[in-house]
Amino acid sequence: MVTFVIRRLLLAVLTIIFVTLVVFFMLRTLPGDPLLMVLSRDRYTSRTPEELEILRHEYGLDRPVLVQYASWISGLFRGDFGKSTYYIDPVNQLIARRLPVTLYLGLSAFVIANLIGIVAGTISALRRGKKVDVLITVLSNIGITMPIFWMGVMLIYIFGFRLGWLPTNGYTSPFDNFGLSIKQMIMPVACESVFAIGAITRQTRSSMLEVYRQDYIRTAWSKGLRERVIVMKHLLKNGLIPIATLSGMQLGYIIGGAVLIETVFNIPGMGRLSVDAVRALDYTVVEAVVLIIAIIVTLVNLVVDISYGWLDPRIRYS
Amino acid sequence: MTSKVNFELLKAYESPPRVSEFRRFVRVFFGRKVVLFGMVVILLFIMVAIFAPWLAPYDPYTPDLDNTLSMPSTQHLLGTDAIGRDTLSRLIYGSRTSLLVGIAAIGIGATVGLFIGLVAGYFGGLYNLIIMRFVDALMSFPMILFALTIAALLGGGLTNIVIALGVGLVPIYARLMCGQVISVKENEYIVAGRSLGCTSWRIMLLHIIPNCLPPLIVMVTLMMGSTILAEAGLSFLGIGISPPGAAWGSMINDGYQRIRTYPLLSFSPGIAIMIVVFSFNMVGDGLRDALDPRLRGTL
Repeated sequence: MVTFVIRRLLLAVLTIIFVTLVVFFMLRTLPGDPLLMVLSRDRYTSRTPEELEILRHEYGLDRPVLVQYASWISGLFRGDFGKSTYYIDPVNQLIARRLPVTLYLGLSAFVIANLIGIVAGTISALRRGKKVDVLITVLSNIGITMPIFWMGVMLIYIFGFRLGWLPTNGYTSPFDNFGLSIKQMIMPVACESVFAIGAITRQTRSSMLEVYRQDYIRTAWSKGLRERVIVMKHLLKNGLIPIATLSGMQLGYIIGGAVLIETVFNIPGMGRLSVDAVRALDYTVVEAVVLIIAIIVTLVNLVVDISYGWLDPRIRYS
Repeated sequence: MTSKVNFELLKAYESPPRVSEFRRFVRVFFGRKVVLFGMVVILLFIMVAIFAPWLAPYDPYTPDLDNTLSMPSTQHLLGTDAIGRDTLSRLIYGSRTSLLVGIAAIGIGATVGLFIGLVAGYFGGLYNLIIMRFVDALMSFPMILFALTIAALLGGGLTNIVIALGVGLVPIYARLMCGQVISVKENEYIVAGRSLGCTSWRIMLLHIIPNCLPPLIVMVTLMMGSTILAEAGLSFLGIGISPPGAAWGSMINDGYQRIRTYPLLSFSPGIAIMIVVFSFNMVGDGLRDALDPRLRGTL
């Protein structure tokens, strides 16, 4: 098990090194000059080329790309993401303010999606062909086809404006005003989780049906075990591996979806930050956001990989 | 001890009657009503996109300032937008954007992914390690964020959206292809080909690719839905087709801007996206089940 974990860790580190390479060089090789955005921020409409060069030097953008990469990486190790060309605040502070918001909403959506998805998928499989199964299958298919930003717009209209039950936008920390925070969270979390609920339900259903055909389940029934014991001890435990793979992927999708949902609900998280930074051609902020999200996704995949080894001992030795 | 041949027992060991792979495909694929529904919708969707100029009742770009934000009526079946353009006509023209971006982006992603996966899987070793780490790195970016970054740097416009989504799709196909190649290259006919002196490229192009195609075709259909959703998301964010061009995502955003007074603008494009994405998903599921050799016997 230890060698297995170490091998996976090394692969994850290698992946993250590639992530930094991709992020950095993709942004440097594509056209677009962030300094023009600095100028528009400062409202300097007429700068001479010399002044532009001074500014370029100030941001270190006149150095060779490899040197820029090396200094970016060494900054990362010191926890310094660099100087934004668009925002006045240092990138670290921007991230520190916004990452918790995205993680709070995203992880809530992730947990809810797993709970609902696994329970609904299991019920659907156990009651195959019944009305409940049909209903769950239809709903989960709607979940994976609905554009989440459209769902957001519709929810805002119905629950925000027509019924007036929920606030239509914004974010409040649960430590400042718990009631308001929960109310503001309901719609965004529903939108962020809806795709994952559908996907996990579908995967759970098919993986449970697959396990259900196995001989040991028939044996368990014929031993006279109760349904609850069979489901919890035999069915779920054996069906969990494909669900774990899919569920790990969902966290990435949820955080990707935050780009849209935070825009719809005007939430000051990483998603909104990335949209604003991309529009402003702010390399440093885009690099930081994309890198952090990619690291989170890589770590989640690592956890999923390791959990395979734990769920199914056969995998450790292959 | 004379042994008598037990014919009854032998019969049990005979393999089940051979079913033509093609017949099984037809039976499984067309056996489900929902797959048929999906096929019909996809055909309609393609027809609408092709014949948009003939089907649309109005010009989707001409403003009509006397009829802004009108409710559905016999003149404008789905109403009009903020500058009086007919919603139904824009919806019809929007199908072109979705279809075009979907096909082109997947074309790029699947082709590039196929060759990257082929090289990684066939040559293995260091090639595999480096290429697959690269693919893992690309996969750890949420597709929409990745496409957003590329699109913003290249500038808006349909071509750049296609490139952005296409690049985002590459890792999915590369990984799938790599896994396929690794299992296909163990077959005896590959060893036979090599012992006959075939070059690596000949083996890869003529023997490996055709045998890896079925799951790839399934993935092409399945990703069509996700790509249309991603394109809609990008045009919702205002990165994508430039105005006055019609795209379903940007139409939803038009309604979002007027959500207090006229949210109807958002409603129909969302429904259109759902119906089309649902159809591609169902046809993809149907193809997967019909082409999956492991399900032979059960389906």
